[in-house]
Amino acid sequence: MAYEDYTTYDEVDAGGDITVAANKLTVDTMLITARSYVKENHGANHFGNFEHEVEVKFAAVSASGQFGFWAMSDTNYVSRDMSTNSEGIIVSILNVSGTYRMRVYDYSNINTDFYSGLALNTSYYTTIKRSGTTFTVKIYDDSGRTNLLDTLTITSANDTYSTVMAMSGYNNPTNGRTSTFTIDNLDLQEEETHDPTDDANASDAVTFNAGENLTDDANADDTTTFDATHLLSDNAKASDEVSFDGALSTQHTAKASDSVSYQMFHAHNIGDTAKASDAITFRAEINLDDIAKASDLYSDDSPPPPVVGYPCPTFTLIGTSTNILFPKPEWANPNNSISKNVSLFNFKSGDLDTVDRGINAQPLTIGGTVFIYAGVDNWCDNATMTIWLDSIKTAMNNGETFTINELGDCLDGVYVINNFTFSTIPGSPDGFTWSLNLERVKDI
Amino acid sequence: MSSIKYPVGVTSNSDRYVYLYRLQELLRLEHNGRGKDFRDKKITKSQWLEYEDIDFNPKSSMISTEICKYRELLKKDTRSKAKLSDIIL
Repeated sequence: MAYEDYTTYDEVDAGGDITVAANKLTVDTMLITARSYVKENHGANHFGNFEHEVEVKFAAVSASGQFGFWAMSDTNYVSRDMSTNSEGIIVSILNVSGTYRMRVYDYSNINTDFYSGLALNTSYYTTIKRSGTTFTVKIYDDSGRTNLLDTLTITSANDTYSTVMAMSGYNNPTNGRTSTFTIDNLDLQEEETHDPTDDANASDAVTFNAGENLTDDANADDTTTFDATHLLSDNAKASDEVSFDGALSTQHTAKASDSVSYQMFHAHNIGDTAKASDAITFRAEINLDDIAKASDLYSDDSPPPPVVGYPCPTFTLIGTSTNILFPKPEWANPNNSISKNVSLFNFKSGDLDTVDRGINAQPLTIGGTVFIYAGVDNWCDNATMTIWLDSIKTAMNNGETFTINELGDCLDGVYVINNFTFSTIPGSPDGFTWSLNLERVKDI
Repeated sequence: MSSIKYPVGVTSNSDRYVYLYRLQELLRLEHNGRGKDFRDKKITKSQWLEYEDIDFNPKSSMISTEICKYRELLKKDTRSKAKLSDIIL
């Protein structure tokens, strides 16, 4: 919205009282007899519903004097003509018995309303509005229009007007009354309209120049959404140019049915708060040589995902014996010859009955049968056997690790015991079967 | 739909006309209170403009329309037996 430029208005100044500036009219001791006005014709029926703003300030208005600081009509530009022809509406300042009034007066239906209590040398800011036949004048005493003094209300004629008067004298035949005042900043609050100078064609180019300045620092969790849908309404030509951070010219004549595929690669620093200066990179790949298919263009340079599962579904016993090494059985003490990493089970060929249960997926279960030859093996007597079993259970409960090797390369590793069971086999010699349920911790 | 809810008993045109002017005055006072808050920076410009756009202006327009309506009805009300000769110049 912009203030009206009074210098472009038509001025009739019968008494030489009016000084016209761009946004200000200064009127000095204008007689009520003067047939003076400042007007602008906007064309037939231009003003129907409207909302105008204008400021007025008067230094002197003689008794029974008056002047109009806003008016609207088709052909009557001063109050006397409006009255004579019963056409036009005016907002005036009057001196009625020493009281200064602002008055709205519709000469078509003689509806009027006024506000008393105006003062000399005070600026009044008005909003003059018509909606249907409801005509109001809001009177404020501050430029921000935050302090409302009164709302004048009348039923206006159901009429439209062509001409707005920025100042309208009375042209009253009775002489001797003068007014001195200023009128400022008439704002018709109308949108400027532009008629197209020619018809638009389908081949017309449309240029988008979008520049967005970040007004604050972006955050790592900010999202950016691109929803771009372009429908080609005509066939593009080889001479058409598509620019993506550079200029790419098509090398063939594309068709409306051509597909354009955009692959966007965003570089986001999400480890910290992004700044306005952070870069965002877009890389666009466009196939223009043929009609794109749904199967076109999918590339994935990332490494294949790891195979989940145990890498060694079967194993073979190596050699004729094997060891399971315990790092430190609980029953070790200074008087005992047992040291770290002793062979608790020394399976001889034929004693080992390794069972492939659960080898295809953790945990691993192995087991066997041990026969006790008293006095032959330091470990193979009932007393020692009891200590073995307790130490294994303690190691299991404490989550201690131990090492398996020589059962086969695939099984070589460090394990913890999930479960251990055994059962005795009475006879001569005595024996027992055992089973270890193991969870692999790491390779060796 | 927006409308003015008149109190029970405020049914005559003259009563409603009086009632509307009181509403208009109350609205003016409220407007000026908000305007003072804005000038004193107790409310932001956007809050002030929102009040004008969403609250004050629609209510003001509604009141003005009703005032015009009842004023026209009062003009045509012949029950008062008024005579121009009652005006003493």
